[in-house]
Amino acid sequence: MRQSKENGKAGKIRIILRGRTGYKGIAEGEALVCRTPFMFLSYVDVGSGIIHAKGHELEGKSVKDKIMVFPCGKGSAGEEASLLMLKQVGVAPKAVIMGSAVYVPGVIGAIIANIPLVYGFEQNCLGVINNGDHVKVDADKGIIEVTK
Amino acid sequence: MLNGEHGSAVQKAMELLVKVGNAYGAERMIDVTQSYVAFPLSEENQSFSDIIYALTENVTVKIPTTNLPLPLDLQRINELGLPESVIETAQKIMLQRMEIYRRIGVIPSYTCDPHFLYYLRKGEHVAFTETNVAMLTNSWFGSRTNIEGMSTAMASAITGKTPEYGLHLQENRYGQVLIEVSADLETERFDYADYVALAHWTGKILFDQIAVYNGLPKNIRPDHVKYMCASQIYNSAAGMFHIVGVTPEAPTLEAAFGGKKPAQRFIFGRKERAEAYEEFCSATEKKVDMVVVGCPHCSLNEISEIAQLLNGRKINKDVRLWIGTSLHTRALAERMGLVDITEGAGGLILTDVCIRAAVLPPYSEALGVRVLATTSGSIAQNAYRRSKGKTTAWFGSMEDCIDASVKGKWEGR
Repeated sequence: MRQSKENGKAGKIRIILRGRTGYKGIAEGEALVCRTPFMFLSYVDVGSGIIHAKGHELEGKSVKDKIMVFPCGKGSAGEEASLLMLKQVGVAPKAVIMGSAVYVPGVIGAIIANIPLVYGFEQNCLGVINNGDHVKVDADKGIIEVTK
Repeated sequence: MLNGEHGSAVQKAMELLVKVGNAYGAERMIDVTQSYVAFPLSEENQSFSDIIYALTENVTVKIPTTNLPLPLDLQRINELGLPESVIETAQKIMLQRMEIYRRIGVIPSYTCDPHFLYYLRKGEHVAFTETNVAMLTNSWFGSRTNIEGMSTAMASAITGKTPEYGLHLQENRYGQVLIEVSADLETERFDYADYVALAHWTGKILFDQIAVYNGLPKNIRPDHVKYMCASQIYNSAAGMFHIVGVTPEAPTLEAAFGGKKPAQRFIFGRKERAEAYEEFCSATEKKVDMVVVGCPHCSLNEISEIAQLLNGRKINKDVRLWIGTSLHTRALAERMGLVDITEGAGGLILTDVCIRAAVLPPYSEALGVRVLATTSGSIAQNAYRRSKGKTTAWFGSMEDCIDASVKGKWEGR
């Protein structure tokens, strides 16, 4: 992990994290971070992209155009179809960052929806990314750049 | 196969498998001996369905392949009390899927309990979708599969290949977290619901790690483990677990952890069990409209238990009792007289249907189900969440559920 203060922008911190390419592509946007295993299926309302699961830590927040960050996926194998569905409605996240890719349907989901995916960081990426951070994802190289 | 010499479906299948293999850094493709496939249960995601359809054009499956349930029980579709429009749409989808399966040579098992149909051996590489089926395959049989998507399972069925990564590799199959089940819980008397509660609670602390359960009875049945599989994955990522002294890769605690020390150790006791039950129970009203058993599909053993619990009693006239199972299990239950007992009492033993994902929701309102009772944690949570609280659920033992169907009210713990 590299951390540096950008010249001239007082207080801004830039962190670069190196992971692995799950699925290629380049994207940038605002981070939406879930601290526990996450699934799009049944947590996210397909029409609006808003997380509607009752009592969820991100209830009421939208995944649309976000860089979605979570430790790992979970749930029914039907999760494989959920990113494609969100994408078609126009409410998908721009990229997905996972701590681990152990949950396979989530990875297949990003591949068939053509959404950049980076996973498997030396340091737990969740520790340094917070909601609202600006994140640049270069999934071709497996690199993410976090600005806070 | 990548160059299209075996046709476009095989080419597309290999392209997909290569992409997934690349995501995991797989070094090669390996042969798989069986597959377990599915189509989506509805057509609401047409472009996803199209991806699977494209994999079935002008091909037949290369290896023995069984399949997941359909949206409804086609034979008994008119007995369910569903609106005409629902029946029409479901019929159309089912007939179309059945035609494809027939054309490509899939064994039409339509069940989430397909292990009965093909033997599996320890170490055998297969490609199974559906979390409960894939987890039982890894955990109980010691065969090797990742939790495949519908797309990748179909790709493997028509190519006989899968990329070598994840749970196909020995180093990814060892346990990481030790779950000690407290002796004062009297695990030899555990009901299905207790196993659901155990696996649900465990899932919440695992994240992506593999659990090793210690302290479960040596005579635990595959039915019990099936319920654990269906429950744990809703909270965590890993596609298998071990039970010390029971499952094939865990003859001892040391073997389960591959000689390493557990990263963490937790104890599941009375308090933890009670917490899990509480989480599944969203109902407050005692009057029950529907009782659902069979997620995952009931085994012959469970159907036999239900018939014994009914034991001459009648199901309350205001309650539906639906039991989900496979065609082959129901056929044997019929021969044993169990179908007569259960349906004579007013229950329905349905085949081929996924009650959790295809019926409750989306049709809980159409069926007038405000309060349901079930042995399934995922039915209890799913029906409540996806109806946005309009349907509430009681969760409990087989005995409490069958009692509720007779009395019309919930008296369980």
